[in-house]
Order: sequence, then C-alpha cells, then structure tokens
Amino acid sequence: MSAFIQQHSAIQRLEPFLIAIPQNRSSLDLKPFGLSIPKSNIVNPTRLSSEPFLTLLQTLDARTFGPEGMPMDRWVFYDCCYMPGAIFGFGLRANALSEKARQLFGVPTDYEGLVPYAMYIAIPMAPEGAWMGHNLASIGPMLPEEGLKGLGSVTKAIALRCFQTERFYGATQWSSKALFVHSKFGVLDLLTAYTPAHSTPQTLTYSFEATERSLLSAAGHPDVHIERPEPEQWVEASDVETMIELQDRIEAGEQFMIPTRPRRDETGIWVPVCEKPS
Amino acid sequence: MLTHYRRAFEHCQPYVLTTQQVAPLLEWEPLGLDIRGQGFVLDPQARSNEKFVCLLRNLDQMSFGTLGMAMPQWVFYDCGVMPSAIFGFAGPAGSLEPWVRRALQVTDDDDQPVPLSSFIAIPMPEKGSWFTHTLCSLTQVCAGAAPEGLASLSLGLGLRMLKVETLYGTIQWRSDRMSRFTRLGPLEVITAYTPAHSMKRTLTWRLPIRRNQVEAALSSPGVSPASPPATHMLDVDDVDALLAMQEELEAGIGYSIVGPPIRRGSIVQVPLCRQVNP
Repeated sequence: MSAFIQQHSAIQRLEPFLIAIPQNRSSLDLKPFGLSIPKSNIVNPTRLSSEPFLTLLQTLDARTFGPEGMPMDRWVFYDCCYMPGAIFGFGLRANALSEKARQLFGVPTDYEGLVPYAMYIAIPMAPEGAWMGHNLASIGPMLPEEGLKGLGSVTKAIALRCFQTERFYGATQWSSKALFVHSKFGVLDLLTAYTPAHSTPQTLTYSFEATERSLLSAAGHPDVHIERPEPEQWVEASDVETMIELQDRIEAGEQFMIPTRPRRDETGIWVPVCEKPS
Repeated sequence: MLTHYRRAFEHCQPYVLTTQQVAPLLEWEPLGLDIRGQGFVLDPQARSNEKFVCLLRNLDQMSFGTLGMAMPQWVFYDCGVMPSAIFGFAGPAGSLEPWVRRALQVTDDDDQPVPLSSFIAIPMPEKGSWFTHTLCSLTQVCAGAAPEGLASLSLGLGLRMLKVETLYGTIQWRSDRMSRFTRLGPLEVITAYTPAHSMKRTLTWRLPIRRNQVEAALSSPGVSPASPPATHMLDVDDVDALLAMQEELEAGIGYSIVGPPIRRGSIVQVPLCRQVNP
C-alpha cells in the first residue's frame, strides 16, 4: 500500500517537507507511508534561516486562497500553524523550476532552496488523536502542464498520516472546490450545516475517521473502494434556507452525512446529503 | 485565593464556549469554582448563540484591531471553537456604561450577557502542551469598563480548565501584557526575534504550569517566587541585542524572562537570566 503512495505520479519530481517546531516532532510520523523526509527539509520555523522558505509558503497560500479572500497573515501562520500544529507538503528545488512557476512564486534570483508546491496544515484538537484541518493549498491547477493532478489530495492524505491523525475535522464552504477533495476520504459526518461562528456562515463542519483505507482512497488507490450510501437530497451550494433547516435539525439531534462528492452543472454546485444510520 | 476577585464575581459570571466533542475533557471545577453552577456554558455551533459569538468578536477587534492582529472569524472557528474551548467572564448588558455599549456594538434592547474577557489556547501535539492564542479583557482598552483582574482570572482559571501542563505563547517585547505571564513563573525564551511573525520584535516563550504557581499568581501578583535572579536587563528596543540573543538561542544558550518589564521614561527593560548550559 505504501508503494502506491511513494509512486504517485503527482509527487515523483517533488521533495516532501515538514514544518514543525522540535517540541512537536516526537508526536509525528517522520516516515509517513515509508516516505523519507530529507533532514534538510524538516524546517524549524523559529530559526532565522527559515524565513525565505516560510515567505514562499505564504506566497503559496496567497496564490491559492487570495481569490477566496482568506489568505493568512504572518501572525496567523506563526500563532495558529507553526507553533501549535504542523505543515506537511511537497516542493521543488528553485533551480528545477519552470519560468512560469518562478514568476508565480516571485522566487528571488539568488534563492536556491526548496519552493513549496503543495502544503497541508492542521492543528491538534483537545480529544486525543483528533486534528482540525486548517489549510490545503496546491499550485497544481495553476501549472497544468507540470503533471500535478491529484497533488492536493495526496498531500492531505500523507499529511494526515504524518500527523498520526485518528479522527479528522474540517470546515469548508458548501461551494468550495475543496469539498471535492475532502469527500475522497470517505463518507463525511456533517456536524454543522450553517455556521455563523465562521467568517462565512455558509460553512459546513465535517469529520471522518482517518483510516489507512480512507487515506489510500483519497490518494486514488485503484483497489480501495469505500461503500457510500445513496444521497437522499442534494443541497445547492447557495441555498441558505436549506442549510439553516439542516442546521436546525442537527441541533435537534438528527445526524447527517455527505456520502459522496458534489456534482456541478449549469444550475450550480450540488452537495449530496443523507441521514446517518443510528 | 479567589476572595480578591469578589468584585469580579459580583458583577460578572464565568462562561465557557465549547463544542460537544471538547466539553467532556474539561475540568469543570477549576480551583474549586463550579463553572456550571456559577456560570454558563454555550455551544458555539448553535445558531442561538450567534449574538454572543459576535460580541466576542467585537471584544477581540477592540483588543487587537489597533495592532493589526484582530482575529479573522474563520481563525476563531478553526483555531478556537473547533480544537479547544473559549473561557472568560461576561457581564449583563444593562450594567455597562453607554459608551462601552457603543464601543462593543451592544444595542439598547440587548439584555444578554456581554463577554468582557476571553482566554483561548490551542492544543499542541505534545500531551498537556497548549499555545496561548488570545488573552484579552475589556479593561485593557477601556479602563474602568469592567472589574479589575478579569484577564488574570480568565488566564488562571482557563489554564486549570484546559488542564494545561506547559503553556507556550508569543508576545511583543514592548507589550504591557507580559507581566500577566511572568507572574506564573520564568518564561523560557524560544525566539527573541521572529521574522516569521507579522511583528519581528515578537518573542516566543514556554512556561511549565504548576497549580501552586497559578494560585500564587492570583492571590499575590508580582514576581514569581519560582523565578531565578536576573543576570542582566535587556533594552527591548535594541534590535541588535534581540538579534544577538536570537543567534545565541539558536546556538543553544538558554534565556528566561524572570520578571515583569520595567519602564522608565521611554526605556523598557526586561529582566533576563542567561544560562550557558540550559
């Protein structure tokens, strides 16, 4: 099973990296799926010499989340990612970068280090083994000629193994492209359908068990099939009324799931929902 | 030791915002205070608590907005609500001065409790370790608007409630909030100069938490008896000194902050203990 991950086409040209303070590393799997992270790619964000790489990481975030209006300030990276959590990702050496990639990242001419192509950020939660997804970013869609299809999904799958995640939680917008990635991990428990405590109330909170099968499924392993119940309703991603209705039912004790990936057509993005068997 | 805070308890109630996943893991009688009996517990994911969450955001905006570090609402959700719990004190809207109500955007017909302080810490991978995300009180921006001591009380009780064994945090060297933490013991300095943060003159610290030190800090604030004597004073506006200290930290020299900052005119000095073999 590990061989499939190691031979995934999206990561063949890339090097894995990990950003974690030394105090956090003993709780992490530094060889996720047997993948060796070179020592030089294990970055301590508290050291002065890490700054150029961390700046490129912020560029990756801005390129990915800028248009959605949620790029992170440096203090958010530091206080909410580097210190309490960890970042796993893949990158390419600056001297191997295409001119287009170099321009996308604004790589300084004298920089020779790693340039982050994809990253996954998560932070631990109070329940043991539970992690909260914070950010998934991949430059893949902006460099379609580089054969990076599936880079985001495989990065998240390996990151969850690296963080030794047992139960995963995340929050995303109903209309987000990321939901297509998250649903690859299996059937998602729907914890909130309308979330006023978030910047965007049309956010859903989801959760799944991070098993070997769910991670391999997300990475696209051809022999791993996850049983998925039939959708009972399709929620259009801008239908706030239905989201509120679902949220009220959740608060009243009903349980729902997102059984499979959303579908997109000329009328919008439709997210499948079904009741969770008791 | 909570008798010193009688006025706070006369005017305010403790509150906890916690999800169903995190609630069972909390200490509900920190330092003998029955939170459920004397305060109130809210589910931040419930739509009915939207107003309280909104008021909490206003408090954060007032406390950190001027520093350019107000917490985006999605960060509040991803890093506070989901992985952890939010603890603080709230007072009745009717007891607030009109100018405070305006500042917090409390409308005239509001009669619900208004959050006057908050403490959020994020769990870290190492068991018992937490990262300080927010500690704020209305009195730090509106002197006299709420009882004195709410921040210290929120910190002391919040640490016990979350069962914190080691606390990490960041703070700006010139911040007048540093003494809240030095009261609890010597702060081990992890970074003295932090380019990865929005404000480079930020320090990162670590502090083992002992129950007796928390109690001592609440009952007799001042220099922690656990702090060793200072070896020298640091002028916190001397960037070269901060950089030199950072380089020494990276070379393995240890530093601790052993007392509150001392301010004379426009000079701010912090007492440090330098250890060659930490």
